[in-house]
Amino acid sequence: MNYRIEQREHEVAVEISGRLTFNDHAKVRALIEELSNSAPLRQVLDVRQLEFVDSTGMGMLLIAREELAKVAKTLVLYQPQGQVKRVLTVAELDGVITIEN
Amino acid sequence: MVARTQASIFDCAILVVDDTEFNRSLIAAMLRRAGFTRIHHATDGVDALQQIAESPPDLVILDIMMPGINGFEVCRRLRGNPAYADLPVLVQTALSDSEDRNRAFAEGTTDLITKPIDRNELVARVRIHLENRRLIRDLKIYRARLEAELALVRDMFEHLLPDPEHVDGLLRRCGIRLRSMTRFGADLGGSVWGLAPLAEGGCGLWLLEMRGAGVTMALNAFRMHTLINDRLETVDDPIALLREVHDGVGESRAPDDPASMLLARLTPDGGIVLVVSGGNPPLLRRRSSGVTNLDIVAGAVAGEGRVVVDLAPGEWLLLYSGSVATDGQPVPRGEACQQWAALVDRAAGATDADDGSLSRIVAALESAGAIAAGRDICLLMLERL
Amino acid sequence: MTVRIESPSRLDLSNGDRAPEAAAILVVEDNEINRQVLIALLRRGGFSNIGFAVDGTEALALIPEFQPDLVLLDLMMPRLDGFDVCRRLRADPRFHDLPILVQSSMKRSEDRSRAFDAGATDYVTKPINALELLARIRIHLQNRALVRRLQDYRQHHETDLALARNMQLRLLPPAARQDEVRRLGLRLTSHFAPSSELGGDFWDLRILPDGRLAVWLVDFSGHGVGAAVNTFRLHTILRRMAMAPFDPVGHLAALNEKLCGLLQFGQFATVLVGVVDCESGQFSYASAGAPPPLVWVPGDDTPRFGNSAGLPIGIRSGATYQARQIPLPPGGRLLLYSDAASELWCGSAMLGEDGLARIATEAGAQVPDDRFLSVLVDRLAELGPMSDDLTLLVLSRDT
Repeated sequence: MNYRIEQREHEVAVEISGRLTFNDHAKVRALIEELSNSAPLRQVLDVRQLEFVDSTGMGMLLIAREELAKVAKTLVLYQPQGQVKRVLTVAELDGVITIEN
Repeated sequence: MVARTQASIFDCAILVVDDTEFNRSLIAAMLRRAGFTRIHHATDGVDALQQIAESPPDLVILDIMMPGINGFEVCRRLRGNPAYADLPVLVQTALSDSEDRNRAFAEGTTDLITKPIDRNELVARVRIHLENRRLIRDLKIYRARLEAELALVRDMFEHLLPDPEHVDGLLRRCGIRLRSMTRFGADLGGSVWGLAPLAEGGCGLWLLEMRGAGVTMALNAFRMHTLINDRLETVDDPIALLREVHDGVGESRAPDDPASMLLARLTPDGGIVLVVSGGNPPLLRRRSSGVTNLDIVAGAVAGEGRVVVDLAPGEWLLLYSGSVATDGQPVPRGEACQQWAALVDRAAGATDADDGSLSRIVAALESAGAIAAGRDICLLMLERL
Repeated sequence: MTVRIESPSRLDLSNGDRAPEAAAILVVEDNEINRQVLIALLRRGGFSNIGFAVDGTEALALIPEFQPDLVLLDLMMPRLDGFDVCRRLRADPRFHDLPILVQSSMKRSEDRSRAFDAGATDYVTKPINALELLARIRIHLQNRALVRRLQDYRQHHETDLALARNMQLRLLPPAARQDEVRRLGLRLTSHFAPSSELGGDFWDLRILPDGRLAVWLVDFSGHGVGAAVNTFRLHTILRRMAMAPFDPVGHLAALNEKLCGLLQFGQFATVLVGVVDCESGQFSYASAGAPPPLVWVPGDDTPRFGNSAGLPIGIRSGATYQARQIPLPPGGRLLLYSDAASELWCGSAMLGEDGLARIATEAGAQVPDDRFLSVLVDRLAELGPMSDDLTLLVLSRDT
């Protein structure tokens, strides 16, 4: 998985690409840290280029949402595609994480 | 080593660094004939360092005399970067030039290849280093994977411990203040404790110690934690629960590596009923006169031992995992119990319990040799408010 | 108060980096003067634990007892020469990795080749360059210490993990219970393959008091030991839950409540729990985000996918689940699987549920029920390495 952070006026946008799996644990921790410390209250994970997420990856997204909620920030998943979209749908995670299609 | 040659070493990338076209081709041809397929060339030191940075090879064959950055310098720069600490570097030298040979080793070369290059020797040395590198890499991958897995389990272990605020709220209703100290050893910890409100009022506090170590022990500790948590709210017969846990543990454990457990039922009027299984160390209570053993007889198998404790305000009860008292030795009995109580009495000091009491007791016990430093331990101090 | 000790494990401490100078070196050399020179050279290099043998036979007799960390070996010796010593040591698994540094006056290329072929680790030519020899010895010893430490680590954990793996296999229904479903007119085959020693998959089956068959397939997030811990917890909970009357929806909701209280944030499990009712010819199930079940109904060309949407358990207390049904008539076949089966990568493309259905349909057309699963597993293995825990359950109804 790779990510690129873009600071906008009222939000932070993070473009995530590749595959989000067990191996990305350290990267996601660093990302959560960075997002927790950035000012905007709305944090958008642009997952259009994310091609795969496994169960550990999904767990990390849940942790990210929780950690950001603790500092009163909202995490938004932006336009999941393909397998990522299917997994989120089957797991009905739209009731837990905000997903914008 | 030869017998264990794996076909896969032939897929390893080898970088041949030489400023003479003829030498590069010669070495590459020798390696190709031996079956190596991924051979790259660098024409001088700068080119070599650049290529290594872009795509690290599995082995480097290095000439010394080159324009710009020579072979010694390449070697030194590689060894200065931790990323290449394990990269085998084979330097070509003449046999007669012992100064060059010694200097090459001083700069961190792994091996020398004598010029003029002998095909058999070149191939033998390359194979030995690549096989060794593969062996080490496989072993390191194994270790890294397992360390990550075990770190997660250790986190989960810590997560088993009750939330301090939750504990405080429940126990204050029973007129008790709890101080706890749980220390996880570097191997997976074996002690776990928990607390739950009881249907009849009051709450149940338990401490389980699984002897042994490693993943098998951890799996059983989690299993028993789940069982106790699931059973505790409706526990009306603590001895039955103790037996159930005992049987559950026994299902999958060797009998010589037992678990011990104690269960305290705390009632809203301040009463404490303690039930302990066999294998528990002597529990201690502190009165104004000092620390004494609790008069309790543990059952041989599953907790026949039971005692009702009435603490006066300011008095405390010390519950702890067996490793605290025994550190692998047999549980103290008879006279050894008195000595043990005396040791804790001195460690606790004359003043009332405070937030530092447990740390002081542990430090004193460690310096008296009663607990090995770094040993996983669990102590619960119940003080009557 | 929780204290965590951040030291390496005890094992590592006891095997910590010894100075290479503490290593045991065996000098094998028949010439008395050469032998003394070598020993003196090693002493000057700081080595003190030095043994010697005067020929190959004596060396082989000494080595198991002296347990050298390195052998410095001459080639030309009476009784047993250095080539034979190399070969015999390499034939003994205990000495596979023992560094053998040959020192010889034989300069011909063929001799060096022969020495390497016989199993030598390194070769230096006489006259000996003292600095070079010491440098080579240190390199071999450091390398050996590293390999040893890593091997000890692995060995220590392998034993433990093998026991743990057996414990995990014992969580699964015993063969006898699997055979029992035959009297219901059903045939069950299963495949359970954690991606490493332990895994986060779990399955179970029970014949309910009313004669129906209940089946569970659970996949905890992650894999390895941590995920396995959660399967043990689930197994403990399941054993204590009332099974009559059994309703998959209520059961799943109850499981979710129990797991929410136990699991760490970010951990969860997908679950499919269902009941095969042979009288009504239905598979009634509830799903917490599990992969969709597949059913082949006799006469159909393609399998039917069951809807399996639902929040995985352990994420949110109070989650509710839906009752779902899919027909399973006589002669029908039901496939339940963990997501590793459909999330298999074939190059840069993922197999997907449709791909799995296609492969399974092909396999099913070729072989009878009892071989269907093993053929399917083989096909999946051909596609690529499995990076997650794989569990497959096939329930076939007699015609």
